[in-house]
Amino acid sequence: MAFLALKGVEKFYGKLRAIKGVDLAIEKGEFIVFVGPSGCGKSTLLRMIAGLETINGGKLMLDGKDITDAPSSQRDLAMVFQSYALYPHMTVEENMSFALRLAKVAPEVIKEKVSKAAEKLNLTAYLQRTPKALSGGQRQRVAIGRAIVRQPKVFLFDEPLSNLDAALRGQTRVEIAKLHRELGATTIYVTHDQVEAMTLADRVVVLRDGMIEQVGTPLELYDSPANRFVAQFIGMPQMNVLPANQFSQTGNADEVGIRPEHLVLTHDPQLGKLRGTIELIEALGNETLVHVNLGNNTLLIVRQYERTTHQVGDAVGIQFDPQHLHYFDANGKSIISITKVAGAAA
Amino acid sequence: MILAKAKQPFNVIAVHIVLLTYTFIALFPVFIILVNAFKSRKAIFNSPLALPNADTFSTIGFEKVLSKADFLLLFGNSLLVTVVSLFFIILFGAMLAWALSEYKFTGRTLLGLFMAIGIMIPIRLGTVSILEIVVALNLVNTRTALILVYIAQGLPMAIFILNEYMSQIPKELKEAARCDDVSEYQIFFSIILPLARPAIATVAVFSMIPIWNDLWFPLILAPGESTRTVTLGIQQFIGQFVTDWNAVLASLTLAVIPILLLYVFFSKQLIRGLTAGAVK
Repeated sequence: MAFLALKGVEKFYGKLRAIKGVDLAIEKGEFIVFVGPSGCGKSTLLRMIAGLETINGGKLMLDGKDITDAPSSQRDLAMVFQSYALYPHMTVEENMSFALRLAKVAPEVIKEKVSKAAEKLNLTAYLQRTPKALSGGQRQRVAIGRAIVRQPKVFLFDEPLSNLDAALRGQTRVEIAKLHRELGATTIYVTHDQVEAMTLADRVVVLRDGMIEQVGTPLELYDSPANRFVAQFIGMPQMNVLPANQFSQTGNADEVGIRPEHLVLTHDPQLGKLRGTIELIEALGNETLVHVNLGNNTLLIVRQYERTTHQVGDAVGIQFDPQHLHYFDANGKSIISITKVAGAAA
Repeated sequence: MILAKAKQPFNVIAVHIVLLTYTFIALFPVFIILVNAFKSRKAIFNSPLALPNADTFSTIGFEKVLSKADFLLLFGNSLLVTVVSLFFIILFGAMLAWALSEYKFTGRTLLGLFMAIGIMIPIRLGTVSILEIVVALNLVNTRTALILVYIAQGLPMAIFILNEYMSQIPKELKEAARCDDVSEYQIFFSIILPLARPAIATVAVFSMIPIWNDLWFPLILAPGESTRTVTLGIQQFIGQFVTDWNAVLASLTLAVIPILLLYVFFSKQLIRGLTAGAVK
């Protein structure tokens, strides 16, 4: 049985069905990332697991115990908030030891646990400071420290890096990944940032409108998205999706998608399977994004890893390997079988 | 300071004139009391505004007051009533404010409104009923009666101020504590109360002064020898025909001291809170 299991979990705000029957099984030690656009219910779902929102339907099981209606204090979870939520009137040490002190743990044990966590998080020099005197990154590390000293069954992170600047975010992300490898604790991490999702997760849960769109390893989601939403949500710049009638041999597919890196520009428009004119070139140094207008305002983004010789306004052809095409039916669902047929035909 | 520099000098002067005028008006009666408390009776009437000099200096007022012996008792009564009332106003006020701001329960709005009405209607309007209740409870001439009335008098304002303040404490703090297996009582006592300290100091200062200065309820509920408060005790020097001004002024001077000490104590907290919020 799964370590943490959600079975048809529902949440209502009045008449609004915010979480629509979510089923999910999380194994012990897994790093799970909830990702989705804002308002998709990922934070709500996390807060329901934490016990900060009531669960209106379904069941929540942790380690074989039904905790659907248990108050958060009895769930044995620790949460790290976006706003850190450090107790402002306590020092770093007091913040980290607060829960243990209330639980009447022996002072020597507390001291050892706190100093161990502080060492791991590079906070030893700041133990006597109050949160006010710390930088954003340090505060977030204290919040993480406060969570790990308790050794809970599950760690919950609610967009922990959103308040940090870009450089610090990257650095803290790496630290969290390292920490998870060391501790091996079951973790659920909410973010709207797909880079965080892809780099941290063992499995990613893509949510939309209170429903799970797909669960899978980062590369599974990237290589074989279950539907058009996941296909376009994962990957930056997002996957190009065109009407199927632009392509040959698409079977009953309604739309066809292809990622920018799978497209190749040709100088001679006749050599391409698709034709258009270049509308914009974004040279980012390590890569170049070429926006091609296929006519009737259909835009396609092509990613090149070398410097481009093309100019804005050039007529170009676009080549691709049909292996890389993704087919979606009228409802946006992926059609797997067509891929093989079309690939074989090419 | 930075604010003053940024503004035009004229504005700064105008502001200070207004502030100084107000300070003067507010301090003048205190000054008169203080000055005249150290003068002989004759000097008080001859030149009430003059400072005491070698001829007019006299501590006869203080001697009289202190020799009356029950002055310590009066002080003790006032201090006891004020401190105990304050303690319960803050404790119950904070608890109720916390409940109103944090928990959703039926009748919450109604309860909040009921408490707000207490701010608008002066408690003295209910004096007759209060007296009846106190008589029925057999509490006439006890300090308990005063304390109970003062708690009721102070609670509405305390709840109003604390509720406002507590609803601004980020909810993540409480949620973090809940996830950390901290009980609701512990959240209240070890997180909410310490964070609400500036608001508590405000409530303390606002509630303390009317209680200390009150003459009305001590006169009605506890006029007995042993339960008199300072304000009531001073009345023994004010007669229908002759008023012992030396004693009155001396006792008023003495009565200012404890309240001043309490004020200094709380205002330290107040300022601490204000600056803590300013440099977030």
